[in-house]
Amino acid sequence: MAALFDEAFLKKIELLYLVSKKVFAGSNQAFRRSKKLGAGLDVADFRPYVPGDDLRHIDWNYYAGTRELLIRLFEEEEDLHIYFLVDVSKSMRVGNGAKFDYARRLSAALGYIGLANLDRVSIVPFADKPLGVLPPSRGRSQIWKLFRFLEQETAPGPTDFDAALRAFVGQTRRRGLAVIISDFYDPAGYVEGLNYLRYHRFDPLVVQVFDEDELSPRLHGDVELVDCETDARVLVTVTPSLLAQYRQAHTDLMNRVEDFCRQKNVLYFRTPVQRPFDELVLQVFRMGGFLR
Amino acid sequence: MNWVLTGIPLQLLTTLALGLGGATTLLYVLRVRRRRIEVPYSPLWQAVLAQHRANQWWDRIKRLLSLLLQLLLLGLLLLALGDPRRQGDIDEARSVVLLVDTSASMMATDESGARSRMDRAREHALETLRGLTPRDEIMLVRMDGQIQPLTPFQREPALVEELVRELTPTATVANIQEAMRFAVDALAGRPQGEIVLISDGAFRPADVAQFDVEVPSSVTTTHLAVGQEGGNVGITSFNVRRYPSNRTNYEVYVAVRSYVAEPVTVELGIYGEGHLVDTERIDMAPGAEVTRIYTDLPSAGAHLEARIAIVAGDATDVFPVDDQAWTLLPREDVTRVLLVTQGNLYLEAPLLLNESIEVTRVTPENYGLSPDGRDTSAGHDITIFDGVAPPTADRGNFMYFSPSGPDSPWAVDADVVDPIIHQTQGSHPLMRFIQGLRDVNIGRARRLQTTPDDVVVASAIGGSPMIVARSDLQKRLVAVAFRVSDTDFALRVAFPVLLLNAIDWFTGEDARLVESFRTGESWVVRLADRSLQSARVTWPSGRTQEVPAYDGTMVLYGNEPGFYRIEAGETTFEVAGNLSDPDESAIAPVAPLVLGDIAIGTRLPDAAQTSDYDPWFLMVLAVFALLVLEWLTWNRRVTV
Repeated sequence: MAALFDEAFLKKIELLYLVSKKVFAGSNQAFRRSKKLGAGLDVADFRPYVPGDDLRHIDWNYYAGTRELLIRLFEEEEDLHIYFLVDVSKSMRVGNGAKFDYARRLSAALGYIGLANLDRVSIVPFADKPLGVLPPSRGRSQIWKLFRFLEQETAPGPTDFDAALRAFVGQTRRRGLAVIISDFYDPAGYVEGLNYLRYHRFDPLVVQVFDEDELSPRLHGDVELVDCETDARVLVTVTPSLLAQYRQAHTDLMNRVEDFCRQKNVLYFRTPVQRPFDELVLQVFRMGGFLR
Repeated sequence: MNWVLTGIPLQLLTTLALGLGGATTLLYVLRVRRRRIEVPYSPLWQAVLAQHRANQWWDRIKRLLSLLLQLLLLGLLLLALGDPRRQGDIDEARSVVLLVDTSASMMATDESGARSRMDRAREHALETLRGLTPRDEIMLVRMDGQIQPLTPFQREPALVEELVRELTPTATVANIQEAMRFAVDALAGRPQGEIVLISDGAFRPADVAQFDVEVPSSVTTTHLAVGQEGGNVGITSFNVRRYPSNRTNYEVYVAVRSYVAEPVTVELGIYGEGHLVDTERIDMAPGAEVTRIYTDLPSAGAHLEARIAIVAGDATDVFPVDDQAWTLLPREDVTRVLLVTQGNLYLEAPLLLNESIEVTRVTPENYGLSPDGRDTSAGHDITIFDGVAPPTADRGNFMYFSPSGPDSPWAVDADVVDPIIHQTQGSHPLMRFIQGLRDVNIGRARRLQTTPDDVVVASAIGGSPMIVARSDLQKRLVAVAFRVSDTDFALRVAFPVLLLNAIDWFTGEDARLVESFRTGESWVVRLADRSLQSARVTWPSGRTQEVPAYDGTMVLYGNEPGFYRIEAGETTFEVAGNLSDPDESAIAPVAPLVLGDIAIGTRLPDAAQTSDYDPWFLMVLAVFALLVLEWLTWNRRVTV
């Protein structure tokens, strides 16, 4: 087993799963009910009969009392689809690749809990487009497949949120929860991509990861900064005041993402990679956006 | 004030400055290739830079300041290599003779904190060294009983400092006259000569009064005084002697002098082989000298020691060197005397009566090679010829009564009838305890022809020598111009005394019969074996020294009080050394110092020149300070 998902990691996510079961017992079942009406067993609603309706669904008891024909509508039981959209662009791998590893671990942990809850879990790594997909899987036993997929090396590229999310929506028939794990370093922005998801009835959940070293880089003197994705070069004489300004600009960038999510009622989590991922998972549980 | 470069020449410095300065500027123009650092998202930096451009003029100034700082550092370093000096410093380079008194009085502990004068003198010397300019040259000379230059003239005070710290006083008397003469000679032909004398000024009054060294007007003399007013009571003399008439008995002589202004009570103790054998409390008036002679000391062994200490009175004794003295009972050697005579009871009797004299008698015919083949002339310390003068060996001690003949050391041209001894040399060892020989009746005597090497000890009216002594490296000779049988001299007390005096003189025992020496003098020590080339001397401090010997004599310069052990061939014996100098025990410091007609300028230590750092050193310091400043500002991100 690779170092990314070792025994300790497995134990940790198993524990997280147990915690999720205990803390949220009663509100979660072994499977989820979708909002879709269909051929289930439980009655969800009634409507007047129209010709052509299945006569087996007429509520004859109601007819006996009122002489009105009502058709029983059943809740269709359907599995929840959870899509983990993991940013694997170059910016996620710069330096020692801490953000990339963090994103993979986080998606694996949440994915395990999804699998254990008998949800359909799918992984979609992306950069400027989706770079493959792990087809929706269900059941705890699929975790090894998930691990293997996450461990696969993908060719990194530049980030293009809009293009990647549009392509994802276009190739995904089933709607569901879209967990987006990224640093949101996209010069073209992320607004359109997220809106596109929302408009197509996906429930986005945003996790913005960053590295503390990115926030406070250990730079001084004359340096040439090279963008890892665009290869753009910036000649800078780093001074304490310049560093302070950079730190503020970085914080502003993250705040803008958070503000947008809040306005659009999208669950938003921000985490440095130095924070243990299990803390973040618990926070996700508490916020209630992931477990329903 | 003009400045000149004494290090790297100006031309070379200019070339270096242009080259290195140009290279530095070029490097700044070219700039160092920036470090390339990969960042995840450059638009953030671009945004920040856009805000920051307003302050770019300050960055340019900082860059220029940095270049100027580098050029300044380079300039300072180059200037330091040039070793700039004021013109005056070079012109006024001095030649300094640092005369440090290391005599016994410097051991006095009357400086503050119970430190010795020597400690203070070392401080003065170090202060003087620090006051020198780099161009000054200095010679360190120690001054006690001997004058010893410890360094030649040199410009490295650091080397002299070590020697100054190692200076230790000796139990000798400072010879200021010779020291000043040496210093003046050493400064001959040198500009800006200066003699710095570090001393308590407690010299022999005679040396000071008769100071006759001519100090040139171009030579500056400075006296750095040490010593406070401290009291002293010292043993100024300590001797023991055997009685000439009875050498089994001896007497001890002690002289104690007070140098304090108050009456004091002193306890004097005499120790034999380390054990107290006599003690006495002596009340001493200010400046008084008290002598004691002990004639009836119990058998105390050969090693005698005297100690004194003030036991009552307000004064304190700050000079410990003269509070102890040592002496040795003279050796009681048997002297072998060969008497060459046909028979002379008068001559033989005084010798036979003395237990320390072993007498052998031979007739003149048997002198030399006897009939049985023995050499009768060998193996004796002294040979006495009674009316004969046969050929003798090349070395030895010979006494002649009425010498004549071809082998006589003195030619005899005639006889003198009824001579009357008119003059005697009372100071000569032969005449010790003899008040004169005027009333000796002499019937006939030889008229001895003396040489310039002879000392006429007694002469008759008309100048005819009656007793003559001669001494050289090989021989000691005494001639008495008459036969004992021709006079009534044998009936007088003076006769055996003269014989014993002659024997003492021959055997090297001087008139005082003293075997203790005075430190700071060259001691002539006689060895039993004349063939020895050297003897090993163990000093009181424990160190050993191989001292050359010649003809049974060894010359040793002793400067430590105490017992000296001498191993000479098969025999081992000891001698004692003492300060025993009333002048050196007078430790009262003298300042201002006047030597003869010359007043030595007194300089208080506080007025000594403060040390000037070399300009090059200050420049290097400035470079270091600028580097520290640069580092601090860089570290605090002020200059980055």
